[in-house]
Amino acid sequence: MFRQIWAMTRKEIKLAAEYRGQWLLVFLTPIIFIAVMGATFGNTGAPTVAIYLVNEDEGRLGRQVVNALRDEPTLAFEMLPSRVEADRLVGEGQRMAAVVIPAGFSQAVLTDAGGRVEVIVDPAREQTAGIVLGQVQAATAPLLIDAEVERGVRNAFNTAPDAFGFTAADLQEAGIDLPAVTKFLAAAIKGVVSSQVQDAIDNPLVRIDVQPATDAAPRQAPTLFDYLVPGYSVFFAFFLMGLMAETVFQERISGTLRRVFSLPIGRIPFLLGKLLPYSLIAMLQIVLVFAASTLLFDYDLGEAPLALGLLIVATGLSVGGLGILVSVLVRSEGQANSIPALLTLTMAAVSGALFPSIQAPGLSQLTPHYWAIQGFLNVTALHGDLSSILPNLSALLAIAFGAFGVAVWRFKHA
Amino acid sequence: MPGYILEANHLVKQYGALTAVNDVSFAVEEGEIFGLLGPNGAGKSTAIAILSGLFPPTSGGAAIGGLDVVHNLAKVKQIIGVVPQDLALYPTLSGRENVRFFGELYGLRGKGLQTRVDEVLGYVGMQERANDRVQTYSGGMKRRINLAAGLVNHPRLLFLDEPTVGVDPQSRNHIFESVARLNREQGMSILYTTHYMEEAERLCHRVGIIDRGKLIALDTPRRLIAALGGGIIQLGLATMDEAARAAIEALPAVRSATFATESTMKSAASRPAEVVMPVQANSKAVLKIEASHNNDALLQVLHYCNEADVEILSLDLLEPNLETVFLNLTGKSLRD
Ligand SMILES: Nc1ncnc2c1ncn2[C@@H]1O[C@H](COP(=O)(O)OP(=O)(O)OP(=O)(O)O)[C@@H](O)[C@H]1O
Ligand SMILES: [Mg+2]
Repeated sequence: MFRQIWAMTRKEIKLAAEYRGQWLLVFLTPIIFIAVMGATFGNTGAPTVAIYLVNEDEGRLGRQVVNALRDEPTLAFEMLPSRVEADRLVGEGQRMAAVVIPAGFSQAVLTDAGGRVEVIVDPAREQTAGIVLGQVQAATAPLLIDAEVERGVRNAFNTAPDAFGFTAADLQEAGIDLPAVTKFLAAAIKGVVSSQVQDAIDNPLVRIDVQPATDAAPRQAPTLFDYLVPGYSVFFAFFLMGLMAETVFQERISGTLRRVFSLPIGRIPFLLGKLLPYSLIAMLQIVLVFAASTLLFDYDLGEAPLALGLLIVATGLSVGGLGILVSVLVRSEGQANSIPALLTLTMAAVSGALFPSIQAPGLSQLTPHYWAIQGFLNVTALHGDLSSILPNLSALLAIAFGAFGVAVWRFKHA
Repeated sequence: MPGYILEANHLVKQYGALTAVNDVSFAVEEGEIFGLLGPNGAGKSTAIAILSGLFPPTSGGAAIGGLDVVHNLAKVKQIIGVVPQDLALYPTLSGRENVRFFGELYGLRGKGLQTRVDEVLGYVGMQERANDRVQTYSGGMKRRINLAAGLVNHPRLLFLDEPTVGVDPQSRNHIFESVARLNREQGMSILYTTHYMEEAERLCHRVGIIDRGKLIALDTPRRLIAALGGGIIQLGLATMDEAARAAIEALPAVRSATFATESTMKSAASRPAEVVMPVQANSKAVLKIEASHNNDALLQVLHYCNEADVEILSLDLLEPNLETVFLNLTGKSLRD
């Protein structure tokens, strides 16, 4: 019996190899769809905002601001030579904002008026530009604290020595070098202040503790790709149902079905010999689409290879099981061409395979897609283990064997 | 006394109101080539489908190698080979792959399978093109692979359902010779269906003639033809002259003379697959004369017509063969 199933399987794969279009559809289209959908609706990793940076200042502080901004991972800068040009390009909508460090910034910071970093924003994208503003402020904050302290100390010595009951001249007389003291004090205060600031950042008075919800394993939020990869893989794998119905129908009209049943083979080995090859093709498709997604989109396969493997096998079997059921039920070439395709699209649509937010809540659980995609999500993005997908495995296998059982019951070979 | 490899008892198969096989009983001796001869729709393929266990008969039963076809089907299938009427092959696989696949379903494998596949490809003379796809073969070559696939399990009884339909003379001869050799050299019993009477005459030890589901004659071709006597003379007459018919029937070399009746002709004409026996356009009546000796009968009939002034519009002399046997039995031609 196993030899017969294996003989059927090999024959079937050879027959299926003829349908080139189907192979493209099943293997290549999911990757294209994932790429297109991902590029349109999602993002790959942290977003970077590209903006212009102009440094017209010649001083030390200007350079420091530029360096601080360069270290900011979420901002990508293009340096422009002048404010005028930056203003023009942002006005044209080339970038949403430009950061301009004006001439004389380093000196201005030390005066009472203070220095200004200018941010030119595209009025059409003012809200997004607000985020940029926040990022620029965050990046320049330590520098500004430095400058603030320096100015404070300098002012203290220039305007307020009277408060201590002596003058600058007294100090000079006492052989104290005022500029040196000022420098020294500024450095000391800066040291204290910045260590205080650092401390405050590390140990804030108001602590916000981020805790995972009770009972939930620590996890990352799934990205759009974590949905798209299993979604489109499973969606297109089910197109194999059409190929199955087509080949069974061909066997029916060409007489090979009758011929096979004049040989000593039972209906169960025969139908298993149809189910197995297409299940294997479906499994191969999932493996290849996942592998390609790992390379192309940084898709995270999780940490439970056994669970992932079992899920792939169960999903493949559900493709084969439903496929063989449909193949047994269709009665004409027209039906063989239309019904599996309709079913494939309907199941995908209600299950959420097409887009995570599109699904029919009550119906989705009836589709193998739903259980497969949720299962893959648990194992991959959410880093679950085998226990996290047991319901999914059970549902998929129940669908596969239930459909196969009905197929065996309804199958007519003559 | 030779045993029977196949015994069919009162087989009936009904499709709704249509009785495709109607109370058919016959037996095939071990080592015999048995022919089932009949026109399109006679029920030949249906009989084979029942005998090879594709579906059970509506009533009646059959045994192959002493095993009941319905209850011992798995064992029966091991000892039969079926070469279906339709080319039941996978067109995108090669001839060899097709034969191999069917061999594997019989449980053959490894060296044994390899050897057997080569052997049957040799029988049908297809080693050279065996690795090409079946869809690139000529009709005759496809037929040969179709035959090879039915031989792969070394069957004791081979069902050959019209193996020469749509085949060029060369492939046809090859198939004939293969079948004859299988029977002669390996003692393979063969049930051969056809609607070509020459094939049945040339190949079969015994022939059953089947029409509209009924077995209407069964014997060796020689005896079937001998029973007919000399042959058949068809006379086209201006009227259905009953006196002339009686007089002709009374002639010494004539066994019987009957008019092909209006109703026979009509019912035959309403079945487009079959052609009414040759009737000259201007003939009003066709008298079918069974002769015990052709030459004598012809002379006597012509002499009578001349004397009695019966006008002859046409005259056909049909040579004695299974075709004329069938014509005589059913009033219609085997061929379409
Ligand atoms: N599946 C079916 N359903 C209904 N009627 C059928 C079916 N199969 C065959 N028949 C009818 O049974 C009769 C016998 O058909 P069968 O195929 O056995 O004839 P045959 O002798 O093999 O003819 P041919 O020489 O054309 O192959 C025909 O009238 C056919 O229309
Ligand atoms: Mg037939």
